[in-house]
Amino acid sequence: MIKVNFLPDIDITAFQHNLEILDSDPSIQSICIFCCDDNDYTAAQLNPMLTTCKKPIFGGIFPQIIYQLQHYHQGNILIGLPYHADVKVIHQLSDENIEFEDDIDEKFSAITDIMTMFVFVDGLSKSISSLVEALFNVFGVENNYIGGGAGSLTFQQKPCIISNNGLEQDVAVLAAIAKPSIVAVGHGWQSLDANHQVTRVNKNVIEQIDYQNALHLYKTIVEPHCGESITNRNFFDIAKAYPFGINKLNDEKIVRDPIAATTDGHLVCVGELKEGDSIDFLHSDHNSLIQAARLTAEQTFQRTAEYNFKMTLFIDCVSRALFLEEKFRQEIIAVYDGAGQPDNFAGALVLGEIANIGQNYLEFYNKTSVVAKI
Amino acid sequence: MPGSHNRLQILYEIALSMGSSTDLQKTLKSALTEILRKLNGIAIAIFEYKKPQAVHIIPRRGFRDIMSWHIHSLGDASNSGNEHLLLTTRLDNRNLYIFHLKTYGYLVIILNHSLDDMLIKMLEPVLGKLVSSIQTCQDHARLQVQEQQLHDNLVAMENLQKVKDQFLANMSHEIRTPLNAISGFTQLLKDSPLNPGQVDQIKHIEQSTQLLTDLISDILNLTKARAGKMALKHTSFKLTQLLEQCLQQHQMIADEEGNQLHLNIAQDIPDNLISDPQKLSQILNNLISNALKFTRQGVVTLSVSLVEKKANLACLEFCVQDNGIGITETELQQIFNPFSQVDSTSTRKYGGSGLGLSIVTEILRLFHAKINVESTPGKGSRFYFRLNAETIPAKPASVASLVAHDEKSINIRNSKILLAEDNRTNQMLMKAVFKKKYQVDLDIAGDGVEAVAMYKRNNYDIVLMDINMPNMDGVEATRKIQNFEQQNGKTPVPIVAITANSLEGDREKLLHSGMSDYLPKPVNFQELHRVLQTYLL
Repeated sequence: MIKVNFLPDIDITAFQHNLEILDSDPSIQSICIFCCDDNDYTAAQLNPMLTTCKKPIFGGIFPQIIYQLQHYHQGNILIGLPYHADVKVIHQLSDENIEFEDDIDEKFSAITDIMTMFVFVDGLSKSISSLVEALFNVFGVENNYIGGGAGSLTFQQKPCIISNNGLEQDVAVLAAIAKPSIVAVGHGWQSLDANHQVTRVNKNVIEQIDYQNALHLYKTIVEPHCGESITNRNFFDIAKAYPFGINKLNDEKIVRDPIAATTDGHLVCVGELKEGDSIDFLHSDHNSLIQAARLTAEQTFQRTAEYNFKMTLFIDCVSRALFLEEKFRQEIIAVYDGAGQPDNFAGALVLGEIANIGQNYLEFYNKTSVVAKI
Repeated sequence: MPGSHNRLQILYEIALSMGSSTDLQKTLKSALTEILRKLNGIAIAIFEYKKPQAVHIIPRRGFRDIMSWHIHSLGDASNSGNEHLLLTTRLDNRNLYIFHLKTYGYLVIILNHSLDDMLIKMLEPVLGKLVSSIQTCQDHARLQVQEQQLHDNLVAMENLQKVKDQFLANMSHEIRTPLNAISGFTQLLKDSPLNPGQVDQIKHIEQSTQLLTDLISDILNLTKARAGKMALKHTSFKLTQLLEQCLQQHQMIADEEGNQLHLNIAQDIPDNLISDPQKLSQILNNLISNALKFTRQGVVTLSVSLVEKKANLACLEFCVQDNGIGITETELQQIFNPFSQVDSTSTRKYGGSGLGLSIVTEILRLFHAKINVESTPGKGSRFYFRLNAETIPAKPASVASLVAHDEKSINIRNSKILLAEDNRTNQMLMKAVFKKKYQVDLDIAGDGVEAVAMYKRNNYDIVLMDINMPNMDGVEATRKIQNFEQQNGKTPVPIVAITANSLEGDREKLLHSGMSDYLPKPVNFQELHRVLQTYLL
């Protein structure tokens, strides 16, 4: 039986106490932890209790957490799972010279019965897409993936990944379980202006679109639509409504969230792009996003009968919450309803989502809703 | 047609991912990842013809066996008439496609959806580009191997050349050191009372010693020239003076065989030139020596004429002519080969190593010139060559004398002389020479350490320094002595290198390291006299 402990306040003693309870509970074999950035927890505070845990632990510190029908800026969720998780940590997530494939393959070489893998990464690392690519290159569609980026909305990188190593930054924690899951992904963003091309990019920083300065072209297309002049200062506020979509076959789009413009007119995104990527400028309205989230949840509910799933996880992009503002609670309710109003419903708002859609190529998404039944 | 545009765009993006690396694995990883990602596939692999294992597969787990099985059974299971697409089949709810990579192998892709015919056809040129990229990587890898082999061979050759050079240097030193003793003691014996028979014997020893010394020098010079280690050193000199010195060097030998030496310089020859006087002398000396060897009671003429003069560049023709035995047509083909002589019979009437003309050829190559010869058997030979040299109006420095100074006796009895020499025989020789010729008792140090210590305790007028010594070599000892002089405000004393290191560049290196002068071994006593005259009077 899955045990979900929600702690609405930030008292570290209470956190420790609950962790110890789960750690000593014989019915619990692994623990998933979501904390809020506004708790202001430090590695010094958490490490003594994390490193002494006897059971495998994994999770992170996120901008917000979700419990039942609310989202919270402060608090903790501790999920005690009745099955074992093989937890491995991948380091140096910003080092472009590291070949993650070999590291992952070696760490999981003895583990062959993986059905679901939780993947939480430092959302401000530079090589997240490379890690995601490496995961797929090793495991393929052998298993489902559920996860996202931890970190702070201040966009200052700091320790945010939880494991038995303690609280770390620039790492990813992978937790493999031999239990099935259902995962669905959806976003609801529509094409505003299609068929542009990334002509110069440096990992997650777009320098040129259609051989023009990225910011210049972005303004050309977005300003007439939003009715405002875009500057470096207001870029984030406007851009949260106008992400990019990387085109794939069958019109599928991988959303890429531009979060800042540099003084050179380059656009910093959450997640990498490649030179030559075909992109559309996307836009949506609140209702379309909420509806898309509902539909995503319904996909999981339709398949609930396959297995006796104990919990629904809702991993949603924090930028959707920022865009939806006070309507974001409606999205939570829509997902809750769409998922069949499950008994255990929890999750986190993340910086980028990691999931696979119906056993296709694994991607790192932005501004996307991931609903999973475990 | 949005669908068409989308396909084109996807294929364009796939094509962009190819050809950015010459590393095969990187190329395959990049291309296969992009194909998989853009087509939304779940597995992809590439196989070479006739090899059961995939060259590259994504993902590492899960589909390896099923793909290999289908490749293996390809011949039996092909169900498509299209040469580009070899197989399409269902795997549970998935679709497997095998594409033909012409001239290379196969591409296998597994998807949860199907590919339409249009996209399949459009993939063909893209996969063609993939094959080109693979071939480029393979070619690059082959080139790298060849380059590495070439590099390894070059390093081996350079190492071998270093070993040879070192061997030559060692041999030169080891042979010249005892030769120095033989030559020196022979000269001392000559100066002592001898009966006519002994005088004749001494003369033979002297000649043999000189021949041996010349042979060693010739072999070393030829080897250096052939290894490309010889280079021209341009300096200004007076041509007439150089030519006269060349003849003077051979006068004694000419007299012995009753030959006459003539010098013929054209009127319009510019006398002040810039070129390499030492190499030019070497060429002329070899030709004159050769001419004298094959002439008896005859005439050897050295002549120079002006061929052409443009601005400050003059083309000069040098000629050495004799009326000796001459050379036949057949023999003319061989005389420039090393160790080859006109007379190679056992009588070997004329002696010599047979290297002289080879050395001339190699040195002239440095000048971008070549030797020419005309000859009539029984009448004589004419060797000639043309050189370009820069003319200068200013009066150049005189050519360093290549002939020993006049041996006027000098009084250096009161001079205090330090000899640093580790070889006992050479110590004895020099002690005897100085005692007999100059009535000077040498102070002798057995190595550089002792030399420095003795120098510090005494006031010397000159130091004769061997270079190759144990404990401290001559260069280091020179440096320490000069430091001592500087620190103590002493007037620097001339330090003359006496060394068997006589290869190209040795002299310059020693002078550059602080030595005042240089005497090669075997020591020529006339040269020694010149040095003592220069620095002690």
